[in-house]
Amino acid sequence: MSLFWGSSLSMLRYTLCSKGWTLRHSSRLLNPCRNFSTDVRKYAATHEWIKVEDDVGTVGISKHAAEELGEVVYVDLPEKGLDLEAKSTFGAVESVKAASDVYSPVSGQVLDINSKLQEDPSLINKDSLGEGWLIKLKIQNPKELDQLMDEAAYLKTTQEKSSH
Amino acid sequence: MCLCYFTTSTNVFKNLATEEFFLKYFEKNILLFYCNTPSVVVGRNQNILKEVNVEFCDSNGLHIARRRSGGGCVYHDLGNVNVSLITSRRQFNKTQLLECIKNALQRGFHIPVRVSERNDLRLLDRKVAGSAYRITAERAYHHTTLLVHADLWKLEESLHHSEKLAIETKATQSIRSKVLNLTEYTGPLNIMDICRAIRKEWYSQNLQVVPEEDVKLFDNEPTGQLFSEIEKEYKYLNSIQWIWGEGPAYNLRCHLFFRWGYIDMSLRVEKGNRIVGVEIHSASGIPLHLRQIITQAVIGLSCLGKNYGEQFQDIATWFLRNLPTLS
Repeated sequence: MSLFWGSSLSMLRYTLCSKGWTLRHSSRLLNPCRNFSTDVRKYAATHEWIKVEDDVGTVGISKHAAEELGEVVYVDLPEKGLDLEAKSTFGAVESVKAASDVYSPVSGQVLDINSKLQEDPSLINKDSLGEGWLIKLKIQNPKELDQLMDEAAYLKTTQEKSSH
Repeated sequence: MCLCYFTTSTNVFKNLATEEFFLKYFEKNILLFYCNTPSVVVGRNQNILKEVNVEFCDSNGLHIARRRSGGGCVYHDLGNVNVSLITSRRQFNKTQLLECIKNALQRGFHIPVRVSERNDLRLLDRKVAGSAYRITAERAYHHTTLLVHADLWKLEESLHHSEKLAIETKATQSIRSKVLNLTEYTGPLNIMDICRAIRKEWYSQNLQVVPEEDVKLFDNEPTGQLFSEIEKEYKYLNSIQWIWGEGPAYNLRCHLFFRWGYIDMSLRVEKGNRIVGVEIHSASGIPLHLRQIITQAVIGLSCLGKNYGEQFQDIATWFLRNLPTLS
């Protein structure tokens, strides 16, 4: 009997362990701060969204902002490697005669830019939450994400503004 | 609370820097007027070689400037007044300023202008004012050019791009319009009178009582004594890095002719005006080692500045010096 319990416990431990190791990346177990992900988009008051996977944040502009801009004709993006501070401007989206600055929701280094936008800036109008993303950032301080709004809170701010 | 100023400087870079200063460091709504000496101003994301007749500007002393707002290329001189409405982003509205200028011109001068779908002001179906916008997190502006008695010959000449260079780019393109001076409709007009009328219209839309005093002057003339923020922005806007280096990427095709044949080069020029790639074609055939030498010589070259033509002259001279080894 005791033998049976012993073996089943160790088996249980083994399965838990193996699941843990396969489902999650090892470094996250060792140091939970190092690898951070959010399942949902977070929004800045300046109308940008960010979605984080393994410390890499993808940044774009909200659907509301894309609708307000109208037809996008050019997107000015930074060079890879540039260090951005939270709330600093990293480029501009030009729609009919208007250049609108875009801001980094958090601090980080530019890992990648959406080069498809050079050929087809209207991707922002078609799919601002997907194909029309702007840059990918190496997140410096995951805590900054806590200062951003979730989708519901962001949508509320846009409704307040349009009622003015 | 609203402020209204007319700047004393007629330098395009100083005035654009002052406008940026009012956008960044003020909370109040500001109506700003300024006139510039002859200059061509491209939109933030435009290619100068594609929009501007650089040679004409150089030989006639016109400034070439890049502004921070979007839109197309425009010509300024002292017969054109720039009107800029700087507000909070919340109050920003794409047509408010145009309606205000339209009312001022209709009521004060009996000029039947109308606002077009592209947010221009039109008179007798010709454009008298164009619009551009800049939107930042907290603040935004709408600025417009109003042609009163500008030199339309210079306007026409300076906005014709050079046919010599073949440029492919995704940069914002200007839409060409037939233009008209207000004075062609009314006879002589004073720019200051127009500004007073626009100011009055704007105040009466926003305040119950229109202040009595005249349009105030904002002294942004003295170099070295300006607010340091204006001075810094002035230097930046006046720098080759901003004017020539911040434009969008493009491909430049050039044909070089030699006694033995020709070379057709397509240069990939990225932001910063640096050549990052080159494609070489020649019906005469080019040996591989020469192809490599050309590539090495051209890649990394920075074409910053107006002496673009000279740089190509340098490249051409280099070819002539090096190519005799070909045979």
